[in-house]
Amino acid sequence: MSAQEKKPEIRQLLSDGIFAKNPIFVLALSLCPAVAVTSEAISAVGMGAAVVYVLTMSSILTSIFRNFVPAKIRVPVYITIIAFNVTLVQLIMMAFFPAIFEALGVYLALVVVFAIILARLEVFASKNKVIPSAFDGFGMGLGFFFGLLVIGIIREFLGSGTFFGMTIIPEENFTPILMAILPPGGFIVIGLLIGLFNVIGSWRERKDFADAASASPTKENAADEPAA
Amino acid sequence: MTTNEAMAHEVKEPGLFKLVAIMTATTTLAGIVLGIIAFYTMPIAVENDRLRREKARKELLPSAASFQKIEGHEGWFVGRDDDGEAIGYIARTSEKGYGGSIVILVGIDNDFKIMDYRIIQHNETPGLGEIAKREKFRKKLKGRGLGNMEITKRGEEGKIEAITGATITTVAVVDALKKALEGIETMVAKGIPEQNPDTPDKKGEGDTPKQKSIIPKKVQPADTTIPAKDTEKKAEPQKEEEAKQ
Repeated sequence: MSAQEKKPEIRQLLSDGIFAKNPIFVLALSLCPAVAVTSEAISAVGMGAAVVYVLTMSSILTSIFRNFVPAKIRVPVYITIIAFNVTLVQLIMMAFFPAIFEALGVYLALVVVFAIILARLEVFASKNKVIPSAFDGFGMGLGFFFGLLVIGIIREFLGSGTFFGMTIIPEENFTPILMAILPPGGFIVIGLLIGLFNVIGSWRERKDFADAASASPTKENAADEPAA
Repeated sequence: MTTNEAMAHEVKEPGLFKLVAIMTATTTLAGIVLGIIAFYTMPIAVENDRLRREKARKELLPSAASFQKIEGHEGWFVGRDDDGEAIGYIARTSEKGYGGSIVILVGIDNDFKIMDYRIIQHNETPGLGEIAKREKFRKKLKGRGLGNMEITKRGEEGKIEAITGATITTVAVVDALKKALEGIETMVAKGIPEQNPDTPDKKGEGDTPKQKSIIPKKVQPADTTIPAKDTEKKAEPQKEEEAKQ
């Protein structure tokens, strides 16, 4: 019985992280790194992967030790756990992916203070069992990864006319939109994507509502409802 | 089993000693594990770094068969062909840009013209700094010497066109290159510091202990003159920092 219950719960956790509670587009957390490392898609991928790992591992460790950590010092302990994982990622990237390590620069070390990570540890991992915590961290990490990737691809395309460094529009007949790779352009792209996310979200809600309505066909269709 | 214990902990306010003990245990454990991992990954990182520098030098002076370190100048090399003739120079140079130092490795030929360069470290606005790294901008600087290094924003013929939105970066890169050109030219005018021709530094990188013994330099004993006390003091806080991390 418990196994049956667990499955939808895990799927729910993953989809929440990617869609319903997407760290960037819905929770609007950790926007600073989302702007700083997304002028090229490849560094966005590097950062996204680092965050997926750190968030998942930190959630697991926090969940394991949640009963041994007194409430008074929980935040320093969480920070230690996060910093441990971040340093681990730094060491590994330095040794095996030096190019990405260099591209991320100081922002990789700043993963330690990403609001999204500490928030998930405090809100979820410190109160839940190991497996749900792992999937919560993984789902949220994937949501962050996906967000950075989309922003990175759009900005790199607009600002340099390339896709992961491959030229799509040759430079002779293309003037890059310089602002796209500057921080203001980053915020504008994020803003537009948040808008798009909201439109999709409200469309999905409306569809759910319509489904519910068609199940009990008394009220008129929800399609008349104005878009949010 | 642990839940009962945990309940007990939560009910009873833990004492200061316990808090300190838990915090110490956490940080110590983290420090030890990271130390072990670093022990294995750091040598790989250092080796990668060395290979990357070597590759950069090869790219900047493709016709050089070997590189020989120039004594007294950090990161300067003279490239030699198979007969040992100097065919070009590699210089590391830096200049303050928009967000701190921009460090550049530049290849210079015998006529003191820029062959190519690589930005090895910068802290410019994300995205804009990358433009100065690209082929398109590097092409504008190739073949230039001290005589024609003016920057223009209006596309004047024969001058270096500044990167749109990153004039400070452009100026810094050009100034750094000028410094390298001047430095190399003066050094060559004075004569490249004597070295034992039998032991050209094939690896290029590191210190060359054999040469040190032949040509005593002021720079080398500097390390040993630092009193032992100082180094010990330095080592201590570093340990603490590691543990904190």
